[in-house]
Amino acid sequence: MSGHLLTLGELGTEGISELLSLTDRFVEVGRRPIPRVPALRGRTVATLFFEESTRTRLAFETAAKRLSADVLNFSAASSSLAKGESLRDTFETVQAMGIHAAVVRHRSAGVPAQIARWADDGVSILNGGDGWHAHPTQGLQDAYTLWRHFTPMVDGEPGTEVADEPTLAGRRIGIVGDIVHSRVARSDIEAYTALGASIVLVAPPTLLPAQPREWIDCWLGPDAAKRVEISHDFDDVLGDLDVVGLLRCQRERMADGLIGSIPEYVARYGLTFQRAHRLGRAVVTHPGPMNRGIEIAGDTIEDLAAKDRLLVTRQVTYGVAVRMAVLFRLIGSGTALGADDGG
Amino acid sequence: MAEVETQPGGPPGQPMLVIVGGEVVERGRRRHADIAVIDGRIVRVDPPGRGPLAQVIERERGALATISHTGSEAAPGAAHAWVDTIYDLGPELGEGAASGEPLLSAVELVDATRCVVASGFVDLCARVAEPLALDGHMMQVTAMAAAMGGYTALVAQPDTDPPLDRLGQLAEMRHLAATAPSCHVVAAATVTAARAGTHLAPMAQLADAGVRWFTDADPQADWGLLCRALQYASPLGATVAVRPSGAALGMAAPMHEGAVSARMGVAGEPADAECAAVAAAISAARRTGGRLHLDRISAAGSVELVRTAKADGLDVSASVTAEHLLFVDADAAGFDTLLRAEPPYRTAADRTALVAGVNDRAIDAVVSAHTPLPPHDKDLPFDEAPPGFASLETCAAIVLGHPDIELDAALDALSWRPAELAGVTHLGGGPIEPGRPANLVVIDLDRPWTQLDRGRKSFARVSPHHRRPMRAQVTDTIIEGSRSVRSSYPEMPDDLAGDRESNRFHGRWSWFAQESRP
Repeated sequence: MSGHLLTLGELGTEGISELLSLTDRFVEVGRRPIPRVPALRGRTVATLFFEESTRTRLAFETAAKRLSADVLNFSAASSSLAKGESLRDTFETVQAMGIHAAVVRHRSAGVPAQIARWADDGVSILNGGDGWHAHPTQGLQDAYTLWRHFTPMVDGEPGTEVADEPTLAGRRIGIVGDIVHSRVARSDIEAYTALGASIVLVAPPTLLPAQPREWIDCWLGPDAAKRVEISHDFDDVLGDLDVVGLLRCQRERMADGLIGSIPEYVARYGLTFQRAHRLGRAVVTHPGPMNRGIEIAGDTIEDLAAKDRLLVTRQVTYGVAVRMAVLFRLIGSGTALGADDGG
Repeated sequence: MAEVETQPGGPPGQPMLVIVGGEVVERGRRRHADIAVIDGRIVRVDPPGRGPLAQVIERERGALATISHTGSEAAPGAAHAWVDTIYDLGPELGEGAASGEPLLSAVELVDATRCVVASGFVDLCARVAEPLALDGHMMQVTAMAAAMGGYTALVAQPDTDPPLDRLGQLAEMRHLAATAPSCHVVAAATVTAARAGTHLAPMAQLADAGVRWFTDADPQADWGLLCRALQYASPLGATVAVRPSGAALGMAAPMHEGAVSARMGVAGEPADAECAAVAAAISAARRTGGRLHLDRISAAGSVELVRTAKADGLDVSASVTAEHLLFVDADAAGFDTLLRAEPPYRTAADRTALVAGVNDRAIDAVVSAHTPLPPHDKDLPFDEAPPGFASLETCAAIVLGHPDIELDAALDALSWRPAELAGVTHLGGGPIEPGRPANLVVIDLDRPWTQLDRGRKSFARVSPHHRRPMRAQVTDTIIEGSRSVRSSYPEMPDDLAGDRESNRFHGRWSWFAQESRP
């Protein structure tokens, strides 16, 4: 694994599996009375959030603290130009404070990759979500959530090696909504296909890239690309799905002229109460925050949650463990994962 | 260079520059010849080893050998001996010959052995400096970079702040250009006042003052206004240049729309949007009969539309940047802001069509689209970073070294055709014959180099080509008979600063202002 985490494609199946297996151990840490290990003591993790975020920032911050790392928080206006300072100047200032890793979120695609080129040796860059490009830790947490939903963890002694390999083989996962503008969709596609799942992308043509088939074929390679289908009809594919992965539909897409109206979108692509009844055994994921009444009906949320088929809360819980695994893998000192001795 | 004694009390002699041993390439004509230049003009073009020029060269080489052999000044007798033969050089020198005064103060040989000698390159699209910023140094550096790239003339884009849309700013631009003698800087003016795209700039006044090229350096969204501009410019003998872009259709984006942009999560500009803009502009030219230039096309479909328009007899021309003959969209997949271009780099099929267009002359010119930027402007997110970079030094080298572009096609696109389009064949791209202004370039087609090799002599700080191995190299650029580039190295700006005060220099500019009137 390289010194950075920019996209899941760079990790490959092996790298993704390794991180998901490692996540098991941090899930176990999270269940301890004192969920804290000294693995990253003395290390500093900076969160460089050029775009507002609550969940991702909290998840990374919690993960870093549970690993005993020091955390530097940095927030900035989304446009560097507006500040009159270049992106590079901003990053180099933070880097000069002596950091070991930086979690970067930016509204523009590619910023973590650019910052990785400017980073000193020994400083790891983690992509915390860049534009429409990638959100690798979200992809990992979604893949982990689904793997552990279909293959529950066998409780063993703390710290024992887990035998089972992460897999989603044979599972059929629908990703529904605004795919073209979604970094979550791109990272989920990379993670799910790496673990052997089949995917159906469900969206109106205006919320998909212009040549979706060409995009998938060039991106994923022939083997994985064969397992990705594209559909504009949610009802047509709904009955066959093991997972419905909903994406957030932003209201400004209507202003952009990409959809006719919100009610029209809900009627065709929303997880309405009626559609929820056709789900069968399928589970539902959402990267949050959910637009109640748009991509998912309000009463559907309560209904699915009561049946334990809405995995949103579990996604958040596992999100911390996944980020602990990533930080540990990138900048870990190799210390064993024993409980914090309090020193 | 051997100095010749001038007679006490006599008039000062002229220096003579002789380009020796090169292959002179003009449109449809190639020959080996030596070229003599006196007072900024070509005075003789002789076959090698024949005629009086051969004797001058031989004697000059002998004089140099004397210096090298003895380690002292050349013997006065040796220098006087060859001056006598100069009397036969041409009729324009007859008067001095009759009075028996020395005609030459010095002879400078430019060794062009195994090199191509061509008329200087002309760039139809370069950004130089802001007319009211009074940034003379920037203009000098740009002109020097242009000379390093073999250019003897460039058309400065008017998309400055404020835009060049009136006579006062034209005078300002020419004043600035006069501080930069390394390359002729020809002003273009905007089509619409303040580049606002609403009403026409005083095109007739500007044309009277010598402006031949009008462009808003922007997509022209208003088709009716483009028609009026073409109609208005037609009797002025001026060209209206538009940049056909998806932006005219509300489809501007930092990348080409395709699999690569979809994977990067970056908005894409469809190639078809450019084609639609090209088709709209061509239909305006068809309706008005005006002279239209399509600045920087990038899609295969656009090349085909231009080819058809030319076959239909329309006065339409088109250009492409050198980088579009080199890069494809996948090259920018790593979010390298140096590869953020306008228009965006497209697919391999588009690149192939552009190269074919240069070869079959569907595309008239290769432009640099030189954009001087401070390095920190590229240290921004990919979609916020301004497109472009400093490309004057490398543009011609890319085209001349391109494996799929023939030499004639390359010189047509860099020199001859853009000079005709801009109406500046006296500043570059013109015939190489006695009496013509000496704006020439010497090119070694097989002398590998990189920008890094040039170190601080290179003016391009922001460029994706720093480490790119180039094959063709401009070794000498001669502007108005003076070398602005000598053996691939620039004559330093300090020297230029002194030069700009000279009579020769000011004379050149007043002459140019007269010549460029339609």
